[in-house]
Amino acid sequence: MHIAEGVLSAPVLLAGGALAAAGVGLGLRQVPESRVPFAGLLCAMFFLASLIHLPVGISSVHLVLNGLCGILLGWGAFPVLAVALLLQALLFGFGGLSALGVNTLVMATPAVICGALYRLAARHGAPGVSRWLAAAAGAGAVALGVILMVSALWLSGGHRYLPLMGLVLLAHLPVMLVEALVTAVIVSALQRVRPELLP
Amino acid sequence: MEPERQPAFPAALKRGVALLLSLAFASAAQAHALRLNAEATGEGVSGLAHYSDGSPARSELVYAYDQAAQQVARVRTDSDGRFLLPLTRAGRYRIVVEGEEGHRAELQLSYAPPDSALATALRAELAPLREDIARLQQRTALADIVGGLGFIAGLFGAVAFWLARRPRATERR
Repeated sequence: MHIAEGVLSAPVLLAGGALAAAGVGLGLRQVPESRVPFAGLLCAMFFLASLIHLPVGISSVHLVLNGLCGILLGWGAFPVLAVALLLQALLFGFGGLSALGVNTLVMATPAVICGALYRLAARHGAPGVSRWLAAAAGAGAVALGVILMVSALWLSGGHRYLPLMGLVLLAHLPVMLVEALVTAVIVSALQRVRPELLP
Repeated sequence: MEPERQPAFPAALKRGVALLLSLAFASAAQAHALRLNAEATGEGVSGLAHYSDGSPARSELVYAYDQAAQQVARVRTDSDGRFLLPLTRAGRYRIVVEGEEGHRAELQLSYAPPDSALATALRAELAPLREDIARLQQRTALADIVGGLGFIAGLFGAVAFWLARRPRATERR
């Protein structure tokens, strides 16, 4: 889900950069002071998650963890993911520097949306369903990210929207499953040992 | 506050997830980055395209552009991610590989047709060495990982430090 250098057109890069900057600005105001060290921890997790490839058959599946960031940080996911993506681009060559804004938008927008939906549903739902909600948020954040990424590619031209969408969504099915499982496990573990960290 | 104990994920679901995960998905396009190695050989520029998780980039398009940005060759990678761009003229070329979903990698290299059988043989002999060097360069170094984590710790630590030193509104009053 990292878009490389030289793939997107200039208007898409500029619009993505502007929207991501707005999201980062909003996120910086939303993170309470007491959560800053926790946000740093999540940033480190997201930064590292991209390196973990679980072999699946002849291919492999990796973690994204943007849904988890959204559940735990809300709008704070924007600055946290922007920092992690910057470091991934600089140190690992994942995604181009010029595409940093678009990549932040692609990862953090689903995080915010799924995090908000999780909060809403967890507040009104029965106490036992939160792990299922977390699983849905984890998978949904990846799926939404794929939709945003394909949209960015399509807006830059040269792609037919629906065939590419089908292909990329299919390729991400295992990612969504792993993501759902990991997000649910982490949220239910937090619920047991540190419920105050959850929204 | 101890929430009421929930049963763990039902065993049937666990098995289902494991089964789905064990299905081999032929596409590795969800890896993070596309890597490209290329070197001059006797018949043109040959090379290897692979994803950052080590899986080969199968049947992706590889282009060669000359210095006037004209496309001079276009091939698809084979099932091992290998390709051979047939080039005949000496010059500096830009090699670009494009995958689906926003993956792209490029490099520049000079190519000249070999002027002797010895040069051709030498290129063939040196090709594995060049591939090894490229692999070493593209490997994620532990130093990068540790450095990134240190940067994150430092950055968020600095923010926390700054916030902690700032006089709070309630204290000012």
